[in-house]
Amino acid sequence: MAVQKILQYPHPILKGRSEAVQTLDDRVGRIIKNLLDTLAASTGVAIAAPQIGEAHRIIVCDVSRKIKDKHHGRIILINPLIRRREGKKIVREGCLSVPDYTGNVSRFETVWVEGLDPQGWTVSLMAEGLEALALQHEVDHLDGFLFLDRIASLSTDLFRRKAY
Amino acid sequence: MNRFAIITAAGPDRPGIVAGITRVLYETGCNIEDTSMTLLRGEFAMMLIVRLPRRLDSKAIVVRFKNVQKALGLSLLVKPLSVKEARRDPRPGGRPYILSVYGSDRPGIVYRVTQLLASRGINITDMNTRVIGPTGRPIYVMIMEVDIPKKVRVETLTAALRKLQKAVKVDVTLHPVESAQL
Repeated sequence: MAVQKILQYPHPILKGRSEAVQTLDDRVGRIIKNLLDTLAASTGVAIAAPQIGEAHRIIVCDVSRKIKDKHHGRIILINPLIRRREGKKIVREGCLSVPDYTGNVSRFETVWVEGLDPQGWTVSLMAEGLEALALQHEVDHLDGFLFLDRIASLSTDLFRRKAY
Repeated sequence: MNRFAIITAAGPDRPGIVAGITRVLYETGCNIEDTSMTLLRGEFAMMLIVRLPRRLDSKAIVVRFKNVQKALGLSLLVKPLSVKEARRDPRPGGRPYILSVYGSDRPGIVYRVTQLLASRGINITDMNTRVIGPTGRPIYVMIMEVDIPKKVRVETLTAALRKLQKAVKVDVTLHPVESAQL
């Protein structure tokens, strides 16, 4: 149990689909602990299991490191699913696995997410703002999507329209 | 010895400009680093930082562009860069903000706004301007991404912009780029 190395693109695990967790065994517990330790030692607010080389559908998120209000603190979700999305917007994102680059991606302001907690209870929560962004970003990791796959615009597409 | 170069090129837009330029780069063994290219009205404008192979300097590469330049009607400039000048990611130290300025087109909008930024040590990292609206009543739109250094207070800058807004008769908004390091 320790801080793990955060994998960077082009590590193949980052572009693969992670497997659903079938049983909550010691291995899952170990992955969760490693995710929490690695997140604590990083500059990010959330991390997904494939980022530390574990192709399993587990994410952890804690935006309390960056913002004060409107959040759930530390979230640990196994097999997370985004059930509903509202309020499309464009945000500039960066990722621990893609250093030195940020891009404008299309995300939602509010999401409703469901998954299991480490004890196996179903959790469903509504997240907004940075927390919602983080959850969307981490669930993407479980499907092999990086923010580079979601670039919505170069900085100037405001003007791309040709006819006024 | 300079091992990098920045190439700027522009010409009448058509399919094949990027392919024409990058073909020469590929054939001469230049490595394409960071680039920015865009269509401005009917002109396609490009900026490319390239790493030069050992056997080629920036003067020699200009010669290799002659044919494609002529075929596509491009103006082209190659400026040598040292390794230090071409260093990767000279990350700005401040906070990214979007500054939008728009209003009836009149001389001096760009100058007055950018002079104010320059006088406060604010760097422009990206900028676009367009003339929009009907021919008789053109509207000038300028959108900039600026890097506000830590020592500059956003409230003070906003107050200065508000003053300028009255003087130049434009509308100005400044807002932080919503960004998330995840």
